Amino acid sequence: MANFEALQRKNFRRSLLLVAALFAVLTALVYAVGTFIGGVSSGVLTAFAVVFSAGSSALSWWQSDRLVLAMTKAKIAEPERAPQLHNVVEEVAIAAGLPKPRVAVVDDPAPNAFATGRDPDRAVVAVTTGLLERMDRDELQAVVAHEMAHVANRDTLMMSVAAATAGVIALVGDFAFRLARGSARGGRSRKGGGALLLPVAALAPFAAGLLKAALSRSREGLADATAVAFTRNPAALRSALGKLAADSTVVRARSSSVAHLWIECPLDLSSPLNRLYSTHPPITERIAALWRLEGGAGAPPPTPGYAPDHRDAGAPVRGFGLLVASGALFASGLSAGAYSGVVAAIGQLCMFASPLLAFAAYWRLGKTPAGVRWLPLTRLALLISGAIVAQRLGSVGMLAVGAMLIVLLAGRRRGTGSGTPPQVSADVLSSAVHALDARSAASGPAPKNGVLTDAPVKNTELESWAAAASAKWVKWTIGIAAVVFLTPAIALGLTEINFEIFKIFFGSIGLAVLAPLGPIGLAVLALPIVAVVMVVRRRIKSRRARKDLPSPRASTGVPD
Amino acid sequence: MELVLIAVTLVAVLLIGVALYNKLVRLKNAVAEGFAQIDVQLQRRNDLIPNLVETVKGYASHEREALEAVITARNQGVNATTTAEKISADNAITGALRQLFALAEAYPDLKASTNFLALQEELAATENKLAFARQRYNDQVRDLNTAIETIPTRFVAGIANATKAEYFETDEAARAVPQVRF
Repeated sequence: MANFEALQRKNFRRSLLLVAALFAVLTALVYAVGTFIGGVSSGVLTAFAVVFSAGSSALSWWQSDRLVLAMTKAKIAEPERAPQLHNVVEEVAIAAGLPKPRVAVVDDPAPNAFATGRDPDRAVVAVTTGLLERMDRDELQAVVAHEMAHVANRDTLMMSVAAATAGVIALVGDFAFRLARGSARGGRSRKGGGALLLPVAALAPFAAGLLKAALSRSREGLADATAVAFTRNPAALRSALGKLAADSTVVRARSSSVAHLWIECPLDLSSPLNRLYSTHPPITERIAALWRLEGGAGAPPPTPGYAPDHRDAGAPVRGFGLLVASGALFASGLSAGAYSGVVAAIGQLCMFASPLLAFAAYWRLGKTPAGVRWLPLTRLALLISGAIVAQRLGSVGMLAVGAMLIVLLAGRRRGTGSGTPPQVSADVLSSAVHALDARSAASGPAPKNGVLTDAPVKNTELESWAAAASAKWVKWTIGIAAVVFLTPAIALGLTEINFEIFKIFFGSIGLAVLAPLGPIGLAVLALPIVAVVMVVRRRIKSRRARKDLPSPRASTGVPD
Repeated sequence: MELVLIAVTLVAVLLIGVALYNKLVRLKNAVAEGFAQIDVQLQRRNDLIPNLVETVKGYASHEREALEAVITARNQGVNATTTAEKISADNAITGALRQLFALAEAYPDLKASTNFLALQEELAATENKLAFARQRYNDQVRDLNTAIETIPTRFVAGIANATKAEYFETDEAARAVPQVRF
């Protein structure tokens, strides 16, 4: 049993954390550039980027109402033209204790809505004609309440700040990337920062984009909770979201730059890139959260006309974001290592936080069917970052952590713990199974695949798929873990040859610290890489052989 | 040195006291504003009712009893001055309106009248606004009462002249009809 106040607090805390992370990425990047070109010139570069990006974002925030209305082709509607809409907006404004915003209508058959404006006094709430047609009064009220929640939470300002920060990161990152590449080509080496600058410069804008999207998702969750605080009617918002999900029309005047404003993501989610940078949490998750607010237990009742498919049941966006954040922290930690004093201490903290985030990503990805596919990569990240941290801890600490990790992974494989196979959360599973059941009922029993022997075979295709992914990879990751942990232990005392080119190569794949191991260490290191390549090849082959894997789209077309 | 410390502590205590005092005054004013918002909506509903009665009369003149009940309740609302009177009139009007709209079901011509439909939407919206204004008022009363009872605002409640406010409670019959809709 949850209440909306707790949900509001949770989403608010998450937003704070994400904003902090965004600034951390910026700081790390600026420091990395600083190591490379020196304090003054990096300061000038950053100041230029801040002025340029923050200036344009501030301008678009200041003019947000006019700009967004023009971009979405929304027209301000007079009270005489849309009396009910005006009434509903006024009702919600009273509930929110805000001045009544202006009301706009977008002539578009796709049901959707958005809010914008630089402060509550200049806010605009816009809905499409499709929304007005399809929603009853309570649902319209719920949608408007969600938009008013954005106004009350000042999300236009919040996302402008995020966009400005991400813009600065992109600018500095782009410049730093050219700088680092140019110096690698020229063979110059300044303060040894080049090897670290390249991966940081390449990763930072990517991480900033993901963090921005994650921030947008947390603001959506917050807006849902706040909307319920206004109307005290979670059922209406749930059924409105159900109707939005059931409708497959996509807003015509869409643009990714205003995507975060809409109540439902206006972009086509069949593109994986759009899903990764998704500005909205999966709609099934939002519906489930509202169902819990209503006091319902278990999975929410199915929405008419909407069968949640694979994609929205398990978009692994959050876990993937954590994984990238872990990588970004790792790179930041590496780049700060070139410094001393406070910066180095922060770098150490980043370094130690990296495996924690990787572990969070592992836990998170294991919960969604589509995320399970990313578990091997996550394990690898966990192992590498864990190995580096262990190395910093000294050889004794390293061996201890290594042993712990191996025991942990082995335990997972044997099925002694509670975590075999990676747990798919009950409601995600049931909705995905719902879709799969519909499919197998139409095409006969699903063919079993013979790959999994040591994992318990469950009665759903989905679970056996997850088990297959984990069981096979566990063996290999244990092998790699052993190599990764033994290699530095052996090589620690060996000669330290600083091959700049190796540093750049390994730095770019997040292994920079392993480069100083010298030629012998590198030779040993090549072993697991060869192993990984072999496994990937074999995996691709076996994937081709198994044609029974549910493709994400296959489950949608079958009538229930 | 010690004198400085004492002075700094005194100033800090004073500043905190001022902040707490201001917080209580803000909460008190929010409650007053919340009640004013309820009043606005009650007034709006009182203004809409004569129009509605005229429209219904044109199609269903022999439903005297229901029409008179609405008018009586409305007059009670117009003349109400104290909070208790306002609350009781509010409940009476909501009940009488519900009755009237239920009777209107039997008159297809009335239900098809655009004038009636517009009035019905206006009244439904006003009922919602009233409900939300009450909800917000009650939230503000809760915040004020909590502040008066809890430490540290409790210590300055007397100085700020803040007293606990009454909730705007509705009876069960009114709560069963959050809005009029057919």
